[in-house]
Amino acid sequence: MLKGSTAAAHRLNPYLSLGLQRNPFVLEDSLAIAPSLWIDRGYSAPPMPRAKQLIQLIGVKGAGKTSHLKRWQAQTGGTYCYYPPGWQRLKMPDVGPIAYWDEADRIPFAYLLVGLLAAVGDRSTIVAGTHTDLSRAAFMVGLPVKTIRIARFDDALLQQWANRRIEAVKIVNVACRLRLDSKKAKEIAADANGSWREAADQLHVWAARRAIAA
Amino acid sequence: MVQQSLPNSSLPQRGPEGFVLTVSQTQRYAGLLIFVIGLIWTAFSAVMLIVFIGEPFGFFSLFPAVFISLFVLVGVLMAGAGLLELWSNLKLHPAELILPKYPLRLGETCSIHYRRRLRRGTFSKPGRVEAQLVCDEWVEYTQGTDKVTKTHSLHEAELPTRTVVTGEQQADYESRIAISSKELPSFLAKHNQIRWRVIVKLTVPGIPQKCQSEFSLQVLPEVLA
Amino acid sequence: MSTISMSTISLFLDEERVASGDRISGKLSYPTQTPPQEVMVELLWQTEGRGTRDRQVVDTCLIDPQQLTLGFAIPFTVQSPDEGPITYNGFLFRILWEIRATVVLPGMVAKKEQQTQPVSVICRRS
Repeated sequence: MLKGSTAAAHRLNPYLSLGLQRNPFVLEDSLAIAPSLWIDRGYSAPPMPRAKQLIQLIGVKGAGKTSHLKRWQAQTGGTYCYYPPGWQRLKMPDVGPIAYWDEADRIPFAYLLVGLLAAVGDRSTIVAGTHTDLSRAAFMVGLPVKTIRIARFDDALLQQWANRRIEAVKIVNVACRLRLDSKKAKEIAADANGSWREAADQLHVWAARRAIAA
Repeated sequence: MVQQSLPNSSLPQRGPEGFVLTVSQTQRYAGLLIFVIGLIWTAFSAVMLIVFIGEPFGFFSLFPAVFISLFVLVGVLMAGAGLLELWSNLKLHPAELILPKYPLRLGETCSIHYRRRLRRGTFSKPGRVEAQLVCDEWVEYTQGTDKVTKTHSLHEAELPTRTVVTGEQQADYESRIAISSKELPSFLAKHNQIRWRVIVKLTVPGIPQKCQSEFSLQVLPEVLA
Repeated sequence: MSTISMSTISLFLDEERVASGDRISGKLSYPTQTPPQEVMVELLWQTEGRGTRDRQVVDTCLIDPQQLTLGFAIPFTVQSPDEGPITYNGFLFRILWEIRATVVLPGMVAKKEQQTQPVSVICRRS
């Protein structure tokens, strides 16, 4: 039976009952992922600047393209260009020793060709997050291409990622009563359809249910 | 900031019948918007299709042409759906929901009266009105590069279905809604909301679209004794 | 530019659980012999969860900085709004209320100290 003040604290914050400071799957305020929470999927090492190359990350929505771009940019420097839908995408992409183009499939074809041509002239490394293959455009200007297809995550990877996030918000010296088991991970991975965002939404609801019931 | 006005509804007008809620301009003109977007989409896709068909690359232009044809089809379907919605709205006045008291409180029961009038003539065939009282959490976030919304249902109550009588100029629907004292009050911030809504679907032969209207209700953080 | 440093502000609330529309009162103490530039107590709510954070300060109580030099706790009162929101622990987000005390220290570079105390706001009964 909880003492009065502890009971009041648990009413205010039900996650305390699970040994957690808060829900582990709260939306991050920034696009970058804290180093302790990063899961290496085989391409964490950043690209080299001035490689005269297009490196394209191809993956579905929520697969982790932007997270990889942001992580690499934090290590290499260089400009980051995001292309929104609509008329705001009518802008020339930046080049330089290394440049990051996010949602590069939205760049109008003429702008893309000019940007890639500038990259050839400048011996730039262009790192593009994209839903579609841009190698045809790169081939037209003679820029070599390296393609990284971000695979859908499986339940084992999701479980590892989720439990790492739970660990990150554990209260020190208090037993943690929340852990994602493989059965639940399998269920969420199947529903999420390759999207980390969708998985995080479902995990937030799962953790909230456990906290409210505790 | 907490919004002063509710989504999906204009502020209620107080009249002799009670508090009258109408649907928002967005809902009213949704059909027109979908039709215009469909037209633009079709036009743009058609131009791209013509360019690819005209390209002298033979076989290599076939697959892009087939792919772009799908976009043209999507545009046509969108324009068609918008037209149907417009047609329905041309036949009917905007829907109204009338409540005797507003805003509502927890632990309160009150009657609701839905009404939707024909612009001309009367209903020549019987129709059906179905309604639900729902409450959900709604969030919006931008992560990576996309704006995403998510909802989680908190409460869903089906209300009795009623028939629309022939010979009448308007579809009338009356029922009662109950908001338990254990439920939650409304909360309407920019990115996080607890929304109470009455959703009414009117199905009438001769009106192409199933007419769905959503009315947002404000529920105060006050429990009736 | 301002920096926020580790706080020596003490906040005491008369009630940690109030109904919407109620006043929240308490006391603030801060050991100092030099009057700060500004002292205020704010009542605010914010969300935490899967949605982008929303936040709103609903009331502010300014305290005469000179009073802090007298060495005893200074009372304050803030007003919670009738229309809420209430404290909420949901599936996609939570709504958290807190009292936040801020002391702006004198000097060329404004240094701030802050202390927060959570408070629970529940539905009122009519």
